[in-house]
Amino acid sequence: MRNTIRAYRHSLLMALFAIWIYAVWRLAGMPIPGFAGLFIPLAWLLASILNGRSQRQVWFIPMTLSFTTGSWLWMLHPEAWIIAAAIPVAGLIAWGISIAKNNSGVIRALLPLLFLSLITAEINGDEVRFAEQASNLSGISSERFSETRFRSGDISSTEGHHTPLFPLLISPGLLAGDLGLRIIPVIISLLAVLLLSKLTNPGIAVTAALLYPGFGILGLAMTGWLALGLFTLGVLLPEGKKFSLLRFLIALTLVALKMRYIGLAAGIIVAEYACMTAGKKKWLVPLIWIGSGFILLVIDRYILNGIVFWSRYGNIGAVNLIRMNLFSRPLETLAHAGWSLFDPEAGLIFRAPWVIAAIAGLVIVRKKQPKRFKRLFIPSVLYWLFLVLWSGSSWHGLPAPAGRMFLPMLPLFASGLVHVWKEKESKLLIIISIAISAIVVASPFCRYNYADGSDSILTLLGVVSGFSMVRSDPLQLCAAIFFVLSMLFVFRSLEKYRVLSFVIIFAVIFALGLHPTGYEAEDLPAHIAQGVSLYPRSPDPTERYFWFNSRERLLELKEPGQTILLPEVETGDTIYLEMSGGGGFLSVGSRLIPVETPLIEMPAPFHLMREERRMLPDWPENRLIQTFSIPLDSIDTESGTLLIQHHSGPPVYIDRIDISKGNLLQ
Amino acid sequence: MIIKDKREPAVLLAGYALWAAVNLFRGFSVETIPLIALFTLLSFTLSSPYFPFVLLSSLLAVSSPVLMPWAILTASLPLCVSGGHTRERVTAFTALASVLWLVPVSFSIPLAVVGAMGVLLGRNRFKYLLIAAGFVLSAFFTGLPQPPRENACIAGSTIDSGIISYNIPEVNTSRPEVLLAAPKQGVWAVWIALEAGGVRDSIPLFAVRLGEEMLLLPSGTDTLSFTMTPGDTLALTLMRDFRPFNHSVIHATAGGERL
Repeated sequence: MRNTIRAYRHSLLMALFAIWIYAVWRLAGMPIPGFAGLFIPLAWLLASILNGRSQRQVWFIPMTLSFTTGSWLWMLHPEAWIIAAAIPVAGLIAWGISIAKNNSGVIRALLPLLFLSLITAEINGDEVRFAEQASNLSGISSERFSETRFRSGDISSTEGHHTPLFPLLISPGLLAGDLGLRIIPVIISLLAVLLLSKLTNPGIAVTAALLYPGFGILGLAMTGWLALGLFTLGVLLPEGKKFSLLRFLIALTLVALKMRYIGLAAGIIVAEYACMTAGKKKWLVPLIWIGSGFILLVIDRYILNGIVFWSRYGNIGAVNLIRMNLFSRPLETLAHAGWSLFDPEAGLIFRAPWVIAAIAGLVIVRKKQPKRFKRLFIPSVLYWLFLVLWSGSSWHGLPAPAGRMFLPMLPLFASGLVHVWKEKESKLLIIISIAISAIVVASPFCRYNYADGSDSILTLLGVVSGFSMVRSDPLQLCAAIFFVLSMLFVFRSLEKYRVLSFVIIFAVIFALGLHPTGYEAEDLPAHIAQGVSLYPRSPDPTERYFWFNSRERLLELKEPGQTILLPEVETGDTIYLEMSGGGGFLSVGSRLIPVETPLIEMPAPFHLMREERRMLPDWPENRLIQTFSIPLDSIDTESGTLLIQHHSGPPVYIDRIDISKGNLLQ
Repeated sequence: MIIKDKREPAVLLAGYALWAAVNLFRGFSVETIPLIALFTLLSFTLSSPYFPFVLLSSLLAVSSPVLMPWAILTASLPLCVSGGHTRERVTAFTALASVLWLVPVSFSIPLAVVGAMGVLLGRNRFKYLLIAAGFVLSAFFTGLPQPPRENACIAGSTIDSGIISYNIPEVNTSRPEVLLAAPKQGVWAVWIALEAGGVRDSIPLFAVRLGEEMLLLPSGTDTLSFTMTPGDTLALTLMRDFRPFNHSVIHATAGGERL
């Protein structure tokens, strides 16, 4: 008995910590004790059962003390309890990474976090759509998902825009009821992580799974983890002709799974060719592949009635989209590529800073395992390029969970991380990444974003930043690129240049801070803006995908009672209002400002898409946003505040407000 | 200064550079001075198991001015108590004391007592017992840290075709008061639906105040209606202070129309 207790004493300690979380939550009176205050201790209890004889880690006592302190101080700020709750979740992630030493370790490490992830992630729109298709195709009745509803982008009222492969695959889960929707995806995720552990090692695989971008949809009914698993399987297959055929089949399955993976599939085939040994008939290989692909398209079109490809993408518009993004607006496409890495809402690096270390490690992969590097690098880069070229400004796929688009690139980064795992700088980036995943568990709404310029994690922390793809500023993008390049430089020359890190941090903060003081209209806090509403009402970014002007939501002023009361404004200041309107009058202090801005014409590159309609309809998003400058007199301001309200006529739409302090110039 | 890790100067410089950047871009604020102690602490804990927690607290404190006091206190208090070296404990106490001195945190005596005892007792074997006793005694006489009451939260509102709806955040002990402002034009008929709970008694839990009138309500569900004119403010105030095992909370929705 004594020996058993001795062997499992660390598991007992973890169980005690679970009880401690439960007790502290209630003693401190933290919010939602029945949900987060119950499930986080339960996850720790599960972890204590799965821990076996594994040893306690050095961070256990600091974590316990930090959680206890943070919980007792939670009343200092309304969001502090969420950060306090994230501390034990972060501990759970660190525990998972530490116990993953073999296949069973991988599963044990993932289960408590999968439990938390599944319980905190609401079933999202894509999952509902997959479930509806699954029920429809398989005939398995479902209480919630039996009726297929038409959505924008669907082919018909009974056929969604998703291909049938994934819905068919997950359909058996519906036998267990509506909640069974995620049974097969959970199994797929676990298998994919096991494959990833074969490619790297168990600890790295668990790290990649529990941090972004992998964590965003871990166990959710979405295609990302299946695509990752198939891609990893393709990399793991041995060399040889019969395995080439298998890889070709994997590439086809990826395209059948989701059209977005065509870049990945093409990359698998290109990498296969690049890894082939030179021979007389090597040139025949691409011809055979192209021919096979053509035959499959013909089968799809004429035998399967276009069910896989033709009915979804067999139109000239899909090809024109790529042509337009590539040749008609290359600079915008380049900016999209840049923001896909750096945007706080959906970009790769903000939610997964560990990737910076992994990129540094890829140089070593290239030297030590050139073939494997090709098999990982070529498909991943082609996937990313195709994503940006085809999707353009909607590369992020929001409002579904942020970061999911980068999942197929995870094997590449995980392989890079293997070689820099022991560097302290890598651990620093991993620590930050762990904190991000932990916050997403503690505050479930942080899993999602709306491409409106406000990242949910930054909003939770009370951080106001103009750094965003929808408020695109080339200078800020350049600063972010400079930051990552400098970090990579430091990684490559660790000992010699480590001291440079402070210069990098300072330079980046300085560059990111170079923006004028002012207010993004849609971010105005409640003590400044009252009664005003945003246009469009819904935060769903799909409503703004096809705006040509700016994709920011606008502040709509159209009726009495809607007011903006700007503080800290003095006589002599000048106020700059970026706004649009169709002839409405805005009252600014004592002045009446007529706001009429011209309608924009459809930008030339888009004529390819909609030849028939060059002048856009008179909708707010189609009016030019112009800057109105208003110098303020003493009669305009009252007690250091300026009142802005709608006076008469059509609505006025405000994009941004800046104040220039007149007294500074005198 | 004794340097125990060769990376300490780089981390120290990076931290001080960040502190300088914060003051350059947001304007100098005396409330950021504790950050200097926090970054010093960060460099001292490079090889300690506390490093991840101090690092994340530092990032949080730099990026979010509103969460800075919480972040610094959460990083420094555990180190005051269980820091491995004297320099760690002293620096942690400096960070803690400077937050309590410069930032308005109510009922800060228990925190100061715990921090000071941690530093003074060093490696005394009865340290944790004495600290716990000090904490309980101080908390008994002064209470636990709470936000200053004067920082009431203002609820946002939207008006569409003469219909107003308020977006009211959850009211709890960390946000004990929410204000609903009347539109600056017109007379409005407004209703508010309230769900309050998290306590185990029927003593009044919160107050609804409009002008001269005030209503004290216990936990449960209520709907109130009233008229508001320009200048009116409806205040929703939690009456209870912190008490263990109580999770006092009010969820409210409100709307109305122009008369």
